[in-house]
Amino acid sequence: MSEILQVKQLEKYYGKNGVLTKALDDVTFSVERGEFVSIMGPSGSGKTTLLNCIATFDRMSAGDILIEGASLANMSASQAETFRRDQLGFVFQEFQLLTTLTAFENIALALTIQGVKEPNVTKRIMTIAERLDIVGILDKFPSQLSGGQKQRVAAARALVTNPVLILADEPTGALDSKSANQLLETLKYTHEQDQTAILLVTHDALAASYSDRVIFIKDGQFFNELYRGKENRNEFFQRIMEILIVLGGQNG
Amino acid sequence: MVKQLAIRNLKRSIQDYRIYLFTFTFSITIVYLFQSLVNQQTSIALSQNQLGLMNTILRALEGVNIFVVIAFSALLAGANGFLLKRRQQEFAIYYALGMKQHQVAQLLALETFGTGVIALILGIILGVAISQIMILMTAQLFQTTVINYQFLFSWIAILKTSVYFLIIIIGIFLLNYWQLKRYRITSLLKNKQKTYELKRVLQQRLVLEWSGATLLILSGYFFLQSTWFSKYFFVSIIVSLCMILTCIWLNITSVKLVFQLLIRSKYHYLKQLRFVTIRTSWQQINEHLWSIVGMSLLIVSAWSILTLSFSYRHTSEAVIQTIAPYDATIVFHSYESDKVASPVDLLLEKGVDVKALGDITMTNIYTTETTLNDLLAEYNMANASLYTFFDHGAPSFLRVITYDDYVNIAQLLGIEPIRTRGHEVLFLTNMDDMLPVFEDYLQTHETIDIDGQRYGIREDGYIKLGIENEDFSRQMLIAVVPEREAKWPQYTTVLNVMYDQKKSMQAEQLLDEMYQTLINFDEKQNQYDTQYGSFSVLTKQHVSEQVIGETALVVYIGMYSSIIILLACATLLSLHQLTFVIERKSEYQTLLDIGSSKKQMYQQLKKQMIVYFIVPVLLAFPQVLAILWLMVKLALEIEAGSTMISLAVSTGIIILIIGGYCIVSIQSGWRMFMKQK
Ligand SMILES: Nc1ncnc2c1ncn2[C@@H]1O[C@H](COP(=O)(O)OP(=O)(O)O)[C@@H](O)[C@H]1O
Ligand SMILES: [Mg+2]
Repeated sequence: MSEILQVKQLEKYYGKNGVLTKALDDVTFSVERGEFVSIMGPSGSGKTTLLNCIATFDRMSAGDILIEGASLANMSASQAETFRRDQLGFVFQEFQLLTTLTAFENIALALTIQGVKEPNVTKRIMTIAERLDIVGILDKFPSQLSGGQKQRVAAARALVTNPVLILADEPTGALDSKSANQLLETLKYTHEQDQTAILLVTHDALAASYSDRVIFIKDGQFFNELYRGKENRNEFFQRIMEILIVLGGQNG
Repeated sequence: MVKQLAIRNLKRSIQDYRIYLFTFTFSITIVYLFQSLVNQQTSIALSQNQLGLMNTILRALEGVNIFVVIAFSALLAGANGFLLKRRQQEFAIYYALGMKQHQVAQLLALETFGTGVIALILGIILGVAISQIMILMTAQLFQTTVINYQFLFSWIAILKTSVYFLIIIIGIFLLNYWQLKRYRITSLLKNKQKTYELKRVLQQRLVLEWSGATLLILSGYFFLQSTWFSKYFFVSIIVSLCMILTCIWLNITSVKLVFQLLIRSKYHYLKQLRFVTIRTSWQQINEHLWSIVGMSLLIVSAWSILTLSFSYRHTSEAVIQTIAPYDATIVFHSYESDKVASPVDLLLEKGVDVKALGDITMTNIYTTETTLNDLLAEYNMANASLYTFFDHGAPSFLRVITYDDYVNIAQLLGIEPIRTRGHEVLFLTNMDDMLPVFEDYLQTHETIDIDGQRYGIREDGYIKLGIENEDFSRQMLIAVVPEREAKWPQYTTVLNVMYDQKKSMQAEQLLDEMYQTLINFDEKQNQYDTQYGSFSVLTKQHVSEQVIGETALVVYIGMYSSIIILLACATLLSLHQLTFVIERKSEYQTLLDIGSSKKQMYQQLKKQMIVYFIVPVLLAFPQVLAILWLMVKLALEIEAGSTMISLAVSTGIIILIIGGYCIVSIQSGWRMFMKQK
């Protein structure tokens, strides 16, 4: 069984005073172990909702999500917590670093929550920090860092626990293109080194071109998908742009 | 619509803002309790004197109440303002939905008065309940019993409390309405996100600062101990003030240093989420460092006041024995210095047979022309509490009694009298502070001159003994002279009585009647006036009632003011914490998102709150100890043993109040977080 994530007929409604918004409507797809998948779609198409359902931040309304064969629908709250802690890594658009902690401590957080003790904490942080080129800023507080540095610290926090699946919701949204590329290169490298699966939500075709496959959704429904195959990044980028034109609407 | 909204908001705020309701309710309870003391009078056995004292207490509390009402208004208005700030956006939406200014005002009024009335009802119910128990305490304080136990329910107290708090509620409403009007809708909709910047402080500098402050305080202390203190009073005051400022400085650097050290200890630091607790607590504390140090000083004062007022009660027994050693003292002040008639005979004429009361002694007090300053000038400034007793302006002349009279007094009290050799003088006093003075004086002097006559004195020639009952210690020095018949003029004769066991009740009653007549100044025709002189009387019972009453006064006012201070501090700490939870809910959310369990989160919140509540208490503790130590050292009437017990009791009260607020804050904070995520 090589599928790490299976999304089956997933539906999600938001109801307010009897008026239902269908944020996700019958979405089905799966992600292989070590696969790098991007999700694209216009603003409001349900990308964040999808990620939140997988991350168990949000409860699904119908359908099921299986991660390594385990069904999230039947999972208790505390099982979901453990699952989140041990299997998933998150990178958020707004970084979500704790302002009171140094970069080092922000990364350490993910490990200490799992119960990892010294000196393993420092050892593992140093390894990941070297890979992300942030050794020099580990003693700084988030307010002293640039956006790109912050996002790399956030990525280090997600990667340091060696998760099987990384969920990233527009991680490059708040970055300049140079920082964005640097981050994507690192994600790509990690994905190739450790066989970590990545699910990247983005509105940026260039970012999506780093992945193996792009899934397009529109109005909460599956719209199309593209495999990269043997193409280089530039060719893949061109094809993604074509779909985006068909997809229309404002990306975001 | 407005009404429904108000009711909904009310329900919500009662759940979410328990702290506010708590403080509101407790303050009402406390004000009610002390108002209801008026009613307790009727239920306990109080003498005429004690009733008078009780009224003094009530008048004093009335004065304290005004201060309390002002303090509570500020506190509650601040708390409510905080809640309002939290709801800025909600109000902005009301405006955006087209609600008129007067409708918003109406909504605010309904909410404020709704909460106020709920708090008033809860507070008074709680107050009525506690006052049933408090009466036992009052009876205990006055060392009497409850005679007429009935359900205590004071309409007057309820009315007064309600009026006080209605004024406060109206004040809160006006203040908040004004606050709300100041907000512009645009700014209401904007959600300001605070950014935190942590300054790193050099550890070496902190250590230096800390040791510097400690050194300064110690040297200040030794300076005050030295003889300089007595010579340059003004300088001493400045030194004391500087010491208080240095204390504040020391508090601040101590907090900084402890947190820096915690952050440095890397190994323990990275265990579990400890470092998050330490960093975040430090962040919170740093942001409110001044107010936390201020609060710790308030807690110091509340803690010391509580402890001292409790130990005041413990020491009163010993005090009574010192100042009123006899069952009764009757003093005859004669108009002429020559003895014309015996006071015993004069009293018999007035229907008081003193000899029938029990054992009596008659002591003649002679006044010399030597002043206390002539003898003891060098000790004038030795002790701050003695200073006032020396003559400033009007001379106080040395009073003497004969050796025979002294022996009679000693025998009446059952003490072995000190034997003198030849032409020797003995020193008597009933002031503890005088004992070290005598010790020093008698070591350095071998003779003493009284009106040109030289007497011998010796090292152990002094004793703590009052020659008459008094309502406080003021017999600095009575000299016992060897003469049989002293040659000085004599205006005062003291009759000391120890009651006959079997007739003590009647004796006390008789003398109490005499006392009541004598202290009643309105009665022009005093039946105890004679053509030769006048009488005064003071029984041990009177003194004891007086002292016990004073104790009750001190205990009540101490408890009242310190509990109020504590409530205020606890509320402020709570509000700080709840603000933090709301401001940083996204950071807590991040913790959950990256995989910490709800239980870990709850633990985290709990630890942070506990640290925040504990820091000012921990800061206060050594200062309280220092103050108590100084008090035990300086004021001889406060003894270490009873102070320890009182300290334990007051610490219990502090833990109860601060801890209670801490627990409620944890629950409220958790609830707010879970609801708002
Ligand atoms: N908490 C919510 N309550 C109600 N509707 C929501 C909520 N979150 C998202 N939606 C709705 O669901 C749809 C999908 O939103 P989202 O997943 O955030 O889109 P995207 O991330 O692709 O921009 C939108 O129509 C949005 O309005
Ligand atoms: Mg989105």
